[in-house]
Formats: sequence, structure tokens, C-alpha cells
Amino acid sequence: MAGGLKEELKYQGTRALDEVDQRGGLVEFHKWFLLRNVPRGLSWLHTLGFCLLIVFVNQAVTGAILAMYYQPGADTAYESIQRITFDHDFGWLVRGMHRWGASMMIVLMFLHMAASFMMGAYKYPRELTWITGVLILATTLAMGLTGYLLVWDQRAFWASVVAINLNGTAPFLGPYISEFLRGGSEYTADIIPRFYALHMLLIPGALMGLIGIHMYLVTRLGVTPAPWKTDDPANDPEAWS
Amino acid sequence: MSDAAHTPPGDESAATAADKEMTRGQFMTAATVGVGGLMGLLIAAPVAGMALGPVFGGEEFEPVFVGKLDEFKEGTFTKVVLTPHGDKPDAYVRKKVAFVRKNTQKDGKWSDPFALKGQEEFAVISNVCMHLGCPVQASTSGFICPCHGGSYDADGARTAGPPVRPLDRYIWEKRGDELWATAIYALEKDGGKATHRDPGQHTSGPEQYFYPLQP
Repeated sequence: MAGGLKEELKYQGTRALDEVDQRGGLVEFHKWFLLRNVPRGLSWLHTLGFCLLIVFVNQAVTGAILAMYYQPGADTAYESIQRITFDHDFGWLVRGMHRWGASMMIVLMFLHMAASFMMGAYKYPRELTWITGVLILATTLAMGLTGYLLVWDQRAFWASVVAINLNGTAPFLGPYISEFLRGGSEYTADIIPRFYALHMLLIPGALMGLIGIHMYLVTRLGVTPAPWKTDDPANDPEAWS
Repeated sequence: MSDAAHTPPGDESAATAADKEMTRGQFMTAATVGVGGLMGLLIAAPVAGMALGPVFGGEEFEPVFVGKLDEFKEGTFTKVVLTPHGDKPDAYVRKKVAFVRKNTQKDGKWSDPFALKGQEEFAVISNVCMHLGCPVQASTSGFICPCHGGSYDADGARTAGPPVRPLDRYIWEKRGDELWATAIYALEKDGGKATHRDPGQHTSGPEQYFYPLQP
């Protein structure tokens, strides 16, 4: 009996999910994370943070795939990118997604920051959310800086020289920052693996941690009501609890 | 500390005695944090050392061949590619470019206002722009930088744009009929010698005190 099999599968499936949930608390987490109350009057401006998350995932996935073909070395980097762009299937597309996604992430980040600022989302009790957001901004800019060199053409090299020297002009610690980025006082072949490790491992690790904290705080503290909706009685924080 | 609540009010000596007494739990916590922290430090120190080592590596300058003495003409610049560490596989990344000029002498006075004592005969000027490090090109009036428009006169002094100091120079020496560069130094605004540093960092004026330490 087809109906009986369907019923049985549904029963067994639910049971398996229940077993997992009993141990992992997934339903509870799902309710806490996604099925929460939001204030009235949300606008498209409230979606910019989620857009950023999507672009970040795009960067992470396309970056991981590009890393399968990229060869970080002074003699190999440029040629391997030529192969990615012209020889590998859809290489041009994945590289383009990563390259334009990077610009998109910076643009969206400034829009998200402006919207959060205009909504007063930096005010009590969301100061920490704002501070982690600023750290995410700095970390993302560092991603842009370290990723730019990896193309290893003339523009990539000289733009990185300029950026490293720019870091060097910071008072007092500047000379040490530029030495750290350069990996010494000279530009050597080691700068590519150095920037690659920063771009692939160190900075993304920090970025993922910061995004996790940022999203935890957003979930815990709730979405800021739009300033044009603060008169709405439903948006009175007292009424929520 | 939390034990203080359990001591009778007014009994100060008992409170301090209780504070000094450590429970087993507190000892275990302190020992775990202390020993664990120490082990973590021991593991992390060499790792951080490897990451930060180059910052404190100092600057080594390998003397490098510039050219034959008779290549360089009086009053005009010759563009030379310097290849220090020529034996290393990444020598082409380490290449540098210098403009070399044989200076002229008139009534016992050298034409080059920035020349150090004993270094008057040749001017070996680095092509690294002192704004942010792009390569400068020779122009009719001296040098110009394609990146942000920095301009220098024929002695490397800034004439326009954002550079913060004159172009760096190499210390040269004659080895037989060859010219060699043995060191590089940064110039103060008036041509005085300053410790070598990255482009964009001042050597004169109040801003020089922003960069007291050079790695």
C-alpha cells in the first residue's frame, strides 16, 4: 500500500528528526534565531545586513573554489590566474563573482552602516553591535587589501606597495605595521604566500568570529524600530515583554 | 570575596581571614587558568615569533653593482637597474632602479647641493617616490611620479605634489672601474642624512617625531 509506506516514512522521518532535536535543541535554536518578533514598519533598509551575509558567503565559497586553482608564488600566481580566467570551466565567472562580490561587499557595508546610523541602531542597548560592526568593516577592508595583491600584475603590485607604505605612515606603530605586511624591509617573493595566508586563513577566521558575535547580538537585542515608527504603540519596548 | 557575605557583620578580622582562605574549587580554578595559560603562552610564543619575526629583522643591504664608471655622463642621468641578491630565485622581485649622474665641479664647488661629504662625484638617486613608493620617471625638469603627481627637481628635492621628503639616495663607492652602491639613506629636507625609512614618513619638521622608532 503506497499510502501506508508514505505514512511510515513520514513517521520514521519525524522520529529521526525528533531524536536529533532532543539532543541538539535545533527547534529551540531555530525559534530563538529566526522566529522572533520584529518591530512594525520594517523597510528594505533593514535587509542590508542579510545582503552582506549573502555576499560574504558568496566570497567564502567562490574564494575556496578559486583556491583550488590559484598557485600562490611569485612565478606562478599570475599564470594560474590566467588559466583560471581562460582555461578552467566557468573560471571567468567564479573569478568575476569573487572580484565583483568584493566591491559589492564594501558598497553594501557602507550602506548598512549609514542605514544603521540613521536608525539610531548604535544607541543603547546596541552599542556592542555597532562596535563589532566597525571591527567587521576594518576586517573586510583588510580582506580587500590582501586580496588585491594576489592577482600579481603591475597594478596589483604597485597598489599594494602604496597601501603598505600608507600603513607605514601611521604615527609610532606605522613602520612596524608596514614591516609586518611586507614581511621585512624588502619586497620579496614571500609577500604572496604571506598575503595569501592573511587573505585565506587569518582574516577570514577573525571575520567569521566577528560576524557570529554580531548576529548573536542582533538576535539577542532585536531589530531597531525605524525612526518613523517609534510612535507606534506596538514598537514600545515595554510592550514587547 | 563572596565568602564575605557569610561572615558575621562587624567582625573585620574574620572577614579578612576568610578572604585569604582558599577553597578547593577556587584553587582548582586558579590552577587550571594559571597552568593552562602558561602552557598556552609557551605554545603561542614561537608561533607569534614566526609571524612577527620580520618586523624586528632590521635592514640588510647587500652591496650591489651599479655600473662601469665611464657609463655615467656629467650632468645627465643614466637609468640603472640594481639587482641585489642576484643569486636568489626571487631576485627579480627585489630589483631596484636608480638614476645615476656624474656631478660637475666649478671653482672647486660641486654642483649637487645634497651630496654628502666624500660623495660629491656621483649622485645615485633612488626611483622610489617619497609619497607612497611608486616608481618615478625622469622628466625635463627632474622626476615625476605617475601615481599621485609628485614632482622633484634634478637633485631629487620635492617641487610639487604630496611627497614628504627628497628622493632617497644610495651611498656609492668605486671598486676598480666599477661603481657600487653600499647603502641607502633617507634625506632630510635640506639634504642631511637621516635613518632609512619607508616612503611617506617625514624626516624633517615636527612630523618626524611621529616616527621615532624604525624597525
